[in-house]
Amino acid sequence: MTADLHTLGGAYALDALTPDEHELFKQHLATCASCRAELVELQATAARLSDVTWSAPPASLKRRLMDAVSRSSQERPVNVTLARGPWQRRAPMLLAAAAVLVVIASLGAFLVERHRISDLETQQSALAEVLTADDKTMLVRRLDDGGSVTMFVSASLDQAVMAMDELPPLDDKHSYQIWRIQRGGPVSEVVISRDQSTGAVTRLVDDVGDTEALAITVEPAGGSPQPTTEPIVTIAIT
Amino acid sequence: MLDPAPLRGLGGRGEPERLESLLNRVARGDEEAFSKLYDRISAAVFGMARRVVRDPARAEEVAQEVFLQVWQGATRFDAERGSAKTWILTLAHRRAVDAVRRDQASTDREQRYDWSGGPDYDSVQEEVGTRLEHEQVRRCLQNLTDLQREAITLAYFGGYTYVEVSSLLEANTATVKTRMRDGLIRLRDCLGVIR
Repeated sequence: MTADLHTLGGAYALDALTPDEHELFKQHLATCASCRAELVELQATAARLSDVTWSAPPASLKRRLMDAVSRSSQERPVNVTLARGPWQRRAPMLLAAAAVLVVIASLGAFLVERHRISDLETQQSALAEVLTADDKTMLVRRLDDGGSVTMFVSASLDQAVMAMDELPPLDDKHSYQIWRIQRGGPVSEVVISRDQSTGAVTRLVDDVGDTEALAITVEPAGGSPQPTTEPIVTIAIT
Repeated sequence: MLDPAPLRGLGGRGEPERLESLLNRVARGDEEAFSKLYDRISAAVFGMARRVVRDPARAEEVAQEVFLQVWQGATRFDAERGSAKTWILTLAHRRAVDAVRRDQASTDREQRYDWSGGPDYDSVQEEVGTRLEHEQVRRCLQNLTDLQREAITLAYFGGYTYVEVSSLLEANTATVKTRMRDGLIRLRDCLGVIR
């Protein structure tokens, strides 16, 4: 199955998969770092094909666009100040002072071990709903110490899926913890237990509407009420 | 004369400003940067869209949607996942393919496809800055096996799924899928694509 999925990368880069397989491969990408690395190159290669079909559009297109642009708003940028800056300097003090506005109960907490996905049909259908949403977006972040985190967000479902792949192993005195970055500061989402054999964890996050970003920190085992270290990754929800 | 090669899509020394840098300015709401970005990449976007959807008016619609998406979502561009050109053309190809599949859902697409041969070389606007890239891609496409080249060009320029390509080429779906990947890998190595 996995070997078969790998071969879909070429067709994916050419937008030549059927809709079902397209989503399946996207889901696979979330847990396959080597596939993502290959895809970056294959997409760059596919983009080069457009070099042979260059054709200047009519000047009227630019006029219409410039007019449209002057009247249309842009998506909110990554909130670096709140999500990243202070944490890297005086994090604990600032965070302790930050007021927590909303704590949303985590309703859909679950883990998916990628080799046993078929055993977890209910969870998979919730995941699949996000992964196949028309308005979903995907962001991938590579971590400095290896591994990667992929986030899918669907505004219409108000849900996100965070897929963590090959996170560096932790000793038994530490845990990874996911935080929601909200206007009032970080709120613990969950302390994640990691599948030691694969390092892969997939997590559904509900009610992301008021959340500016999701972040992961390394905390003492069992988690902390407030983050005590700077995040290993912060992904803005735009 | 120091022509800024306004339609040249690739970065490099001597370029006035990298596309990535323009895109970062666009993310901050800089309309002038958007205008420059458009001048540099619109022929690649429009030409590809026209090739895929065939109808120039439809291709204009696709290009307009793509550039609006670039304006609105420039903040999503992540340089770690490829160049600005790749990002924009990936968005554009996806939209062009979606458009052609929607438009052609109920018609016979085999009739629509222009079997006269490869890409529309005649319609290419031969800008000085693009000729080199153009020739390189053509040469590298010739290095592929027939099946690799046909599978890739039918998918990219025709907007066909690999299942449709298999049927058009009367080849096994698993084979076509594999040829698309190993063909792209061969093309990547020939073009020297790193990102």
